[in-house]
Amino acid sequence: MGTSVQVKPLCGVYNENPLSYLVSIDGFNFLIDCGWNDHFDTSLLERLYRVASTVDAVLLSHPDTLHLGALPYAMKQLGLSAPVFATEPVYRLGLLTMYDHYLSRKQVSEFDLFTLDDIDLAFQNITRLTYSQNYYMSGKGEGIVIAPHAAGHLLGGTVWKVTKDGEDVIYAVDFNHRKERHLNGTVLESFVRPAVLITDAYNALLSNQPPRRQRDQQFLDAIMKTLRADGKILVPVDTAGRVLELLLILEQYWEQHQLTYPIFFLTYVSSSTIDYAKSFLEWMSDSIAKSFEHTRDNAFFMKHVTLLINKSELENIPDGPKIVLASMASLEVGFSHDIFVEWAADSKNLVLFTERGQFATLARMLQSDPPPKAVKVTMSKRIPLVGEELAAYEEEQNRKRKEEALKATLIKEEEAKASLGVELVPADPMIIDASIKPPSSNAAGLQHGAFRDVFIDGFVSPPSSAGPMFPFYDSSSEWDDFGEVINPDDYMIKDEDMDQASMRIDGDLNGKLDEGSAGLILDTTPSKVVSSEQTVYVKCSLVYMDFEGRSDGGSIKKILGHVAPLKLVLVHGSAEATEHLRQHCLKNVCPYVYAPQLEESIDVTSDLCAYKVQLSEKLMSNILFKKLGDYEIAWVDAEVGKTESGTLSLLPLSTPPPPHKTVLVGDIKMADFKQFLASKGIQVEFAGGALRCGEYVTLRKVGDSSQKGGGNIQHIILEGPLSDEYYKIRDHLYSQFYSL
Amino acid sequence: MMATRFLRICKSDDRGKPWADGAAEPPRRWINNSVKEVCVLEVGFLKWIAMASTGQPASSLKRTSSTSSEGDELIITPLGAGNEVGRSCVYMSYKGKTLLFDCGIHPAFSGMAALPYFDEIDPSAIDLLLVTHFHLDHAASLPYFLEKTTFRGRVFMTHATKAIYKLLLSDYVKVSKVSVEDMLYDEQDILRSMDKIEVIDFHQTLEVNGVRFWCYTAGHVLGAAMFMVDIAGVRVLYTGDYSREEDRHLRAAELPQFSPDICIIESTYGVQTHQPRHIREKLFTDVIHNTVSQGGRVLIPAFALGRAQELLLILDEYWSSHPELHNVPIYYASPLAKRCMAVYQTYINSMNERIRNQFASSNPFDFKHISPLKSLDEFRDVGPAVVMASPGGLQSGLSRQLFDKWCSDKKNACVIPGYVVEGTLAKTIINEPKEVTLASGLTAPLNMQVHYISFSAHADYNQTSTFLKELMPPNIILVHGEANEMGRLKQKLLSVFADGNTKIITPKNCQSVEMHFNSQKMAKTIGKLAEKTPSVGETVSGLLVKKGFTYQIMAPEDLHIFSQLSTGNVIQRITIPYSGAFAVIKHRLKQIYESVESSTDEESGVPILKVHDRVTVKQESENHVSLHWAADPISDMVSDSVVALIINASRELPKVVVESEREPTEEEERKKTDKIIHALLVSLFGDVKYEDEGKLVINVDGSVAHLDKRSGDVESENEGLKERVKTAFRRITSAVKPIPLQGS
Repeated sequence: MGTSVQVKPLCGVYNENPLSYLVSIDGFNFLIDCGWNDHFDTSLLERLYRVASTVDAVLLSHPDTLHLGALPYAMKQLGLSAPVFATEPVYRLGLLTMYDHYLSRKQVSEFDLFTLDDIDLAFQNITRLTYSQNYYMSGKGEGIVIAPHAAGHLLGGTVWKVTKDGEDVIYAVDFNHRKERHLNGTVLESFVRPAVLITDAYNALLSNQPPRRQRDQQFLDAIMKTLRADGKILVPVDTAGRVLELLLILEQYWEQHQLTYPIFFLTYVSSSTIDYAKSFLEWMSDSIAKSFEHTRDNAFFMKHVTLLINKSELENIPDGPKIVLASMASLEVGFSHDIFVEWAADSKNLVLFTERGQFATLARMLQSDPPPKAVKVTMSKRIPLVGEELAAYEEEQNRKRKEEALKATLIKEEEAKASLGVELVPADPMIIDASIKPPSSNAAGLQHGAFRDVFIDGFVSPPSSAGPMFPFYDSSSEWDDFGEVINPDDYMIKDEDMDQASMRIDGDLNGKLDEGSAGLILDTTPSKVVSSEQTVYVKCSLVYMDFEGRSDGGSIKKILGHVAPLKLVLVHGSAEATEHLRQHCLKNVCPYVYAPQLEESIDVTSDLCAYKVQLSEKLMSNILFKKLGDYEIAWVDAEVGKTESGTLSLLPLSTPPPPHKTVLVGDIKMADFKQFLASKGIQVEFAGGALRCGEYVTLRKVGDSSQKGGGNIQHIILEGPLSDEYYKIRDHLYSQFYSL
Repeated sequence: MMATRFLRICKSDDRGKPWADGAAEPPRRWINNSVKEVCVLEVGFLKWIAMASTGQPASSLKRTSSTSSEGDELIITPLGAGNEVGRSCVYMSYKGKTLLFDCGIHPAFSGMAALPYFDEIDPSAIDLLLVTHFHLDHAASLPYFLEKTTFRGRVFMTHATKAIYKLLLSDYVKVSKVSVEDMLYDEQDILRSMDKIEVIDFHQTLEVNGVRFWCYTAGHVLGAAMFMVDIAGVRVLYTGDYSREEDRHLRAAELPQFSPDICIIESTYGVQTHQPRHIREKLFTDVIHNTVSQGGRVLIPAFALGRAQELLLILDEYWSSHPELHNVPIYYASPLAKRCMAVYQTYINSMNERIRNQFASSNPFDFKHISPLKSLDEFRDVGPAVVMASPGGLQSGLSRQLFDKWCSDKKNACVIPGYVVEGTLAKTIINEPKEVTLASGLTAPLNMQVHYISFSAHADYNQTSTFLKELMPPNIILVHGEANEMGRLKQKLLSVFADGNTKIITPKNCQSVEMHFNSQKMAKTIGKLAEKTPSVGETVSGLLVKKGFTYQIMAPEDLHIFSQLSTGNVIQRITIPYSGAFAVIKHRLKQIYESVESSTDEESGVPILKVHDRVTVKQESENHVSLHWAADPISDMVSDSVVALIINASRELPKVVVESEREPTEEEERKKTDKIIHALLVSLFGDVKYEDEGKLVINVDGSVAHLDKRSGDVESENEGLKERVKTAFRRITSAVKPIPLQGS
């Protein structure tokens, strides 16, 4: 009668695709992570689309695209409408990451999969939790408790623990057990024997990361070498994740050595990112918290790093050695892309990768060995329209506006007829026309928002000064006998809009952030994107260093061995890595290791039987517990009875207890026992795998006690001739166990 | 109040504490010690007499906690803040777990007298200390408790509280002008205490020693928390200071998801009700506006951190919307002014949405119209001005200096913006006396206007009663309120909870509240043992594993699956020199053991013997036999006997002689058993006599018990004796039976 648990991967198994898994617990469907890649490839989301409407809750683990990128699109186009749970940093930094991606894409293409509005809308309903907060699900999920715990990889990164009836299902991907500058290590190791553990094999083949100090030193050495040789350094980074660690390393080193080379952090949201990082000290490592408590020095108050949100600011800076951390680690689009193209031809420069590029991205290509001599890139630019194009555009605008107005009236009429909440007729040709076709066009399911979405989706910057954030439908408003036709909806959602408005202010439309991106967001001049292919000769040095902040293969195995789940599910990682880890775990961790294929639903319901009984006072008063670490343990013989309320209870036996086999409880480590014997004045030494005690007695251990799930009990063999010594050693051995 | 120190001296001297029990004789032996202690002793007398006269048994918690440990008694004792405001500190103990809520000082006293009654407890026995917020009356005795007592438990507070705690206490130490010997602790102690304080985030659930706890937003000041503690399923909520009203920067206190069994709640405002916030704000700004426009000066004595920030937000906003006031300066006179800003800027996630949204565009705590003022030397007192200065009670410091300067001019005004503690000057001037005593000791007329507009963010009656009605805790303990207010609140709440299911208690300091919780212990049977749910009457045998307060029953084989414990198996092999015939051993063994099976070893083909399937005897060579068996008390015993037998056999001096080949009759067996039982009972109880029909009469100090040996029934007037005889008889009967070798 264990809790039923099914796991169905929607994306990201046997490869490095984004992560997205459906985990149902007693029929309650959790979508754990909702990732997308940097190409925003809609074909990856097909499987998500098929189950989106059945999802009851979404849990997000990390604030990067691989873990939450598809959320806005899924909410808008795939019919995902479940409540979302994440930690505060995942929410904030995830939002910024999505903004940055959108703005970077928008700059070079007619990107229309989702808009800033969609991002806001998707993130607005996230319930924010703190680490180890137990959140009790209600309604359909009654009895399920979810709790985020620190994962150690990104700020706010989460290992999710979902508990029902005392059985834990743990989702832990991309964890890092090592303590870093800004993060504590994961707490995954504190969980013991969960019913199910879902984890990734991403790093399973990677072994032996250098110690942090050494790695940091290599990083700094490489940088200093280039700087001293008058070179420029580009570090392609993510928007708001690992970059925080890199910034701290640089800032500290610059501070210590009083360096004056400029450091720039360039993303569309860099200043907001750092502002939020400053306010997330609670989520960071102990040392950061401590330094703030003692001296009120906020680690992210950085003296040596200049925050930029616009590439032109960078161009104004005199040429010379410098470091630029620019967003879009993939080098596909964004600032890093542009800077790479400019700098790649100079052999003095350095491009320093700190994470493996996603599959089929420019970054990945450059990380291959040997690196390509030349790469083809597409340079795209948004330029204002002029002359005929502008005229044509304006005409198109007018036409659209008219259609818009017409449609608005149509919709209003429709809505007047139908009650609120009825879905729009999906076959409305204009909607499909204007919006990108989702995998299935019928999914255009946003209800009263559809009208607004269409307007923005067609991507036309509104003619007035209002940006896409606040769509503006004036001028062509309809008049009838009673005056201006009003849309009742405008008034209906007024209250919700209050929150939305405030959300937008904090997220995006504020002055600090906007100066740079305003040019884009509030760009009112009609513009178009022009692209040109160009070949870049890569002469600069390319270096890859692992700053991904994930545990390496060896540590993963060790941690899995320690956590020792009853059942283990492996996801995310190359086929090779997955298979490697599977084999290892089958041998050393537990007998139930699953690595499901895409859409393969596996049943990891525990075959655990359990029932509850009440322990009667009478029984308990006769029980003497023996203390063993955190545990207290005793042998009970009891008779089953019933309490008044009908629950089973255990009563003392009326007859003498049946004899039982003595249980020796304890775990003996040969090395420890050796020391113990030595302290008792017995000569001990290891010889041929056995412990030789005294002159004749040997002690051997057979059976692998490290394999916790395997059911092996450790056997200790004590051999020797009849002698005093034999009995003495036996007494010492017994003293290491509790016999029950 | 000096009593506190008296107790402390006693303690260091003698942990027996005769005085604490209200002993008839005051302790004499200290009188000779020193002059200082004599004077202290007098105060001790006072306390001793006081206790005698009230007839209230002074409860020594040290004793109760030691005797009732593991008991189901839940004890709550205010060590401070019981029928008073100040030095919050509430002791709680249940199931052998002890914890303290808050650790404050009394602002109206100084030195040892300001401490809570720590002598009532044994600090080394406290597992956990939870601090709700940074105010001095909730946190300021923490460095003392951590550094100067035997406390070794763990301390938790929220991130913001910890950051401000250090700021505030360092300042407190600098400002408090007490003699060196009255200093409770110095700056170093505070720094050291910082290393011991651990942090907890709102809603984060932590567990220490089986005590689970988490905290909710309390609204009162930045970082203020209400703690919920769960010990073995019994939940206790300690609100600390809380406010259910959202203000400019803080969230309102949350309503916990679960109803606690006990709610320890503040009662500062008793039955008073607050005016709505906007009315208070208008009053506040109007008073200030009027005063400054008539050329007067406004003094706002306020505690440097916490509520001051709220007032500054109000003032800054008001000034922004009233350009005509821009020439009137506002000063925030506190040495902490600048330093605390960093904290307020960082922990915006502990504030409300409004501030967090503002934060994104500009820092709302970056005031445009308010300038910080470090000391009065920088202040040029020329014309109208608004000065917010600490401390809030006008005891000393900047606010007192300004008050002394301005109090006799009727153009000036003093706005008291929060709760003022009994015994401070601020409390005195609320009643608008004609004259006041200045810090210099002179008296001066009090002409300035005094306004009392409360922004102190404590719950008022409406908030308290609604909060409690929503929570419906069966037990309510009122603390942190002046005795009269608390009494009125209690009466009014009693009428609200008239159904009689709710107990409302207002303990005084050191007065213990004891409650009994009959917690049912539930165990979960898991694994192989639970494959089938047993029906009534069946037996369940297995390992009972307790971790924290959870119990699990499992089969020994499952132990390593469900816990980190593992089971071991010791296999023993012992070789014994023996050169005789193997058959001899077999013969001898058969005389002792019922089951001796002989076979040959599959590998080597040597003959082996199996004794009850436990011990295997094997002829290794001409000169050696070996024994091997799995360790187990019974097998060990069997093997010992086999070893003895083989040794003796090899010596060819057979000592095991079979007494008689004849099977003993049943009658003889029974007689023998009876004899042994009798002898053992005699050795236990002394006077044991035979009665008819195999019954025994046991006589212990006049109590008589009749034991029926056949059924094991015992009859006795004396319950205690009956149980003892029963148990003894059960054990004896199991001891005289042969050991069940077959059992496994």
